[in-house]
Amino acid sequence: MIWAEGALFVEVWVLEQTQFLGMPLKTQKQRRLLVVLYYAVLFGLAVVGLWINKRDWGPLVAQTFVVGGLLGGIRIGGPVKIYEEPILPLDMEGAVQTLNLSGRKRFDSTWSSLDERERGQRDMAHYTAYRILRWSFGLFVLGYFGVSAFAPAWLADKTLFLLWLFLLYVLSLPQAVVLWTEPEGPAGELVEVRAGAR
Amino acid sequence: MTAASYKVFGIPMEQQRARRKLVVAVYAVLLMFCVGSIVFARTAPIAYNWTIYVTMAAAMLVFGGVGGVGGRYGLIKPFPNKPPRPEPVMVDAIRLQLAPMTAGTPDESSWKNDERELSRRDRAHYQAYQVVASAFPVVLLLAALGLKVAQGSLQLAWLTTTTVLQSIFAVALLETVLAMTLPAAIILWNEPDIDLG
Repeated sequence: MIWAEGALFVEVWVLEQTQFLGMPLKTQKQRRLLVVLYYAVLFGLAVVGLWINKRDWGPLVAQTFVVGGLLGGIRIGGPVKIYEEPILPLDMEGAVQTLNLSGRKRFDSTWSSLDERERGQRDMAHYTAYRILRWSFGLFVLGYFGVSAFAPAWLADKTLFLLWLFLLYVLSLPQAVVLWTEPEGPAGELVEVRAGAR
Repeated sequence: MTAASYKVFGIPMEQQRARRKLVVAVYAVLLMFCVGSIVFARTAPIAYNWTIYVTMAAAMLVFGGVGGVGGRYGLIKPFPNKPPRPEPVMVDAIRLQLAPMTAGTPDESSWKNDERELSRRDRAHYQAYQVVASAFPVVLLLAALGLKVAQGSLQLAWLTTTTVLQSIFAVALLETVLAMTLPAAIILWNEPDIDLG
């Protein structure tokens, strides 16, 4: 993403899009709102999942990577740029149908690998996420043992679902940190994005 | 890279090769404790405590990178990039008698990370995060398997609920050990030789 700084345009972070699911992401406030909404949805899912007496979460678990990577980073399509070069799907409709790289679909022009500065921001976000995760994991374990003292049978029934929710949290945390911590640009909000960015 | 010294138990650690040997040796010891905990888990479930204590000691006293009180020890400067907590008054008093020049606040260079060190710290955490995060799906899969076995929907002669529970315990224990030590180990492994001139 590029912020205006007089006549100079400076790249400051690893945002892929300025809009996500209809939500603008130009200001820090908007990005933080997205993070809050994302975790509110996860919380809602947790409440519903713990409330209803459903045992087969197979179809939902199959979507782990999609839901956990909704904010980007670990998969394409989210607001945060993908951290590593992705494995591209095979171009089955194309003229070249081989298993080598030339037979794989190309990304659209918006995708590019992270530059040095962006890699630094990605690494910093993971350091922060790592620190948050240690505390979260401790609280999760304490909470689990606390509840198991009162309702062991209910908890045993919900353990898989809770583990799955925690996995979503682990997958999404670095991206949430990126979106949450990125400061405002000099002009207060984003004014221009990289060519081709939505 | 180092907080106060380039030595661990008197062994110099300026050379990358020495540091890599140290990392291998520490993980060999930790692995022994993990295996011991897993083996004794049936008869003495509390055995895992020893693994956690030894891991904490290795992270604090050998690898370093730990904040707070532990920031005074180990090869790597504290990751939080804050000065270690002041020692108790009694320790200060003893130090004043033994070596008056070293008393007072710790030298900034012994705990403050420069830009390159911060970059290495963040990079190591990025790499460690991938490893730690990848253990969660494994635990989830094992838990799902355990549930199926317990409900009787999956019946294999060699697979019992106890076996699955032991596997979950093993993965969780290894993950805990790695989460506590891996970023520092990655830094020690990758840092080039240090030329002290």
